[in-house]
Amino acid sequence: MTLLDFARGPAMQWALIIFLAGATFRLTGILLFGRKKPLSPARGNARLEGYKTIVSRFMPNAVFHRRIGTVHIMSLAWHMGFIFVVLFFQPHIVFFEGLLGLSWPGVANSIVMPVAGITLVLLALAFLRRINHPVLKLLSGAGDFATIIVTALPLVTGMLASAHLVLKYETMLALHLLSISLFLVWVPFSKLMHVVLFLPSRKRLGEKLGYKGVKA
Amino acid sequence: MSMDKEMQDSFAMFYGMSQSLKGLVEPVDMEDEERVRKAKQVFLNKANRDTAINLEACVRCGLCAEACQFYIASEDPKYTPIAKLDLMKRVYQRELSPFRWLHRIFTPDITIGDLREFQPKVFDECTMCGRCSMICPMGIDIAEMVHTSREAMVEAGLMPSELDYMCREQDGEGTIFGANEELLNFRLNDLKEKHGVEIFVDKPGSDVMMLTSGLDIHLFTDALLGTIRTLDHLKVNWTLCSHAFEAANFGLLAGSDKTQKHITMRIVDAATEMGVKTVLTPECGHTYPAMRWAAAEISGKPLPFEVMTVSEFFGRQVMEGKLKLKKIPGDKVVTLHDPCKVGRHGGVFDEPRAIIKELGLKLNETESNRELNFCCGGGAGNFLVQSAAPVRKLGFQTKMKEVNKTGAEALLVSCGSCRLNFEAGKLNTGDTIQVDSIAALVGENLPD
Ligand code: SF4
Ligand code: SF4
Repeated sequence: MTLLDFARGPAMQWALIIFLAGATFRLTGILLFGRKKPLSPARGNARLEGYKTIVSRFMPNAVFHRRIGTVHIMSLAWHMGFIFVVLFFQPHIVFFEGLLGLSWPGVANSIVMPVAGITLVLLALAFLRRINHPVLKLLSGAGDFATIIVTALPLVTGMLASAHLVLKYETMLALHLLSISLFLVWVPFSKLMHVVLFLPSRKRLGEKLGYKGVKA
Repeated sequence: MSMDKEMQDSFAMFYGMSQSLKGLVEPVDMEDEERVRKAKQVFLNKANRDTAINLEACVRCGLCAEACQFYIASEDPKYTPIAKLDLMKRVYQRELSPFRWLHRIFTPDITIGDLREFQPKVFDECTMCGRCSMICPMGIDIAEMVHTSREAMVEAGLMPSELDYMCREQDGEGTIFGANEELLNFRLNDLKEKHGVEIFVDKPGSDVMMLTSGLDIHLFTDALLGTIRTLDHLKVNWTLCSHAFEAANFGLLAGSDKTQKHITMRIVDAATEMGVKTVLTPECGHTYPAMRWAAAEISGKPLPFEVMTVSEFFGRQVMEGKLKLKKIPGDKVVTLHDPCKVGRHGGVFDEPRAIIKELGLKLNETESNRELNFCCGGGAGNFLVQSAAPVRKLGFQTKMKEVNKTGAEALLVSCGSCRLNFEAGKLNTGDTIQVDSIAALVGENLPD
């Protein structure tokens, strides 16, 4: 079995299994905690505000723009860039088709590659911010840095593989697939789980405030 | 209306009294292991799905700091909101989280040293204002967890002595600052004699049970008078209850479950017994969530009465066209402070604004208003805690920066402790803006 076969086959399969089982276990563990129903009459529509908050938190309130506007835009751009590259790079679509049986139109390499480059630069800036900003220095642990590395690896290896740089294409592709496996395995055990947890956490704040008639 | 001579004297006396509570009670004697055990027990008992989601979802982006009054004024990372929850998070991760077996390898258990280190973080350095939750991209409710952390400190016998004193007084005498039934009667008779208002105490068959507070009995008598005048004007069938008139709930502020329940049930039982339809909370911010949201949970069933705060009650009357007010002449420009507990934690925003409009005042909002309003700096009982003074100053600075930008001649408030904190802050910083009670303004501008 070549490295590429291993990366495509058992490594990816196990990574997917660990990802799904781990994420389900963590999410179920959280949702299994109970919560009491409020007994006071509500002032507003809690449920509606809950759903609204899931969407509205993509943009901070205008009053915060001066303080966090730049960081927010960079963070939004990073997330959008990452999702764009994952979903619209032609070879990725082929991979998803094999996995899910679904496909969609891709975007030309001449667009995807610069987007991937910008995304990587944004990630590097996030890393620099994390090691320099006093608040982030206080909050960050090894897990936060590991997350940045684990997230950067698929981007770096993917760009190198498609540009046929550094190593043989097959080897680079294998490394790319292995880095994706690492990413998947890392999700349930790290803050990357926020890709799922942002839903219940935003919704819950929205519900709590909405119940009191307050916009979250 | 600015403070007249009588109120200035009362303020000096009251402020002096409120700032000298430290050391009036003996520190709680407890073995260190017992403190740690009890604190952990609180974290474990209070954890629910919200706690789990909150503690699991944080991405450590640090943005919450950018909403906190204390960080904004100082840029000191120690005020980072989520960092105040480190102990709670560690206990959760080690004992409750789905991957606890993994966390135990990397996360150290909490110690007595940690408890002592974090005590000021959850008391002095956080007013549980909740503004940080408004910026958090994950929507994490930090204030709620700071409250749980305060509860853990209380159980561990590590509550600041000033709050301990207040809780013990409320538990024992049922009063705050010694404002007992005798003092209440003295104050009511004084208002009756000077202003000719009608006073009702323990009146059977009343529709509305009004609460007041030691702060208003001692100091902000204009708010008490304004409320009584307006209720009389509206021909509301109201009463005070001689054994349940104190609205303040230091149990809720300090994080003492026992005291909170005790005080809440005194009011709930009295109002239920009297068969009133409404309990009217005074201009005392935290009383509102204590009665409006928490009381039913504490009772274990829905309350048989509705709960409103004065600005809400009078504001609704204005909005429904039932309360007309005289216009204050001179195109006066004012700004409004939404007390965190009545606004962001209460949802009362439109009503005070309707009153301001009815009074013919021009409202210049602070840049952060309504649910985004800044705390006055001294919320959650911190206005009494001596060691919180420097932090309070930071919060006050943040708040006043926005207030001063409005160009308003007066700052309107519907919370006595915010008002006290503004007056005290002014003394320290030399700010001069007039601080007025909304209830007092309404009472002074009733049509003839
Ligand atoms: S803003 Fe929210 S997600 Fe970010 S560090 Fe603070 S609590 Fe965590
Ligand atoms: S609740 Fe208010 S005071 Fe406390 S950390 Fe959040 S913003 Fe700061």
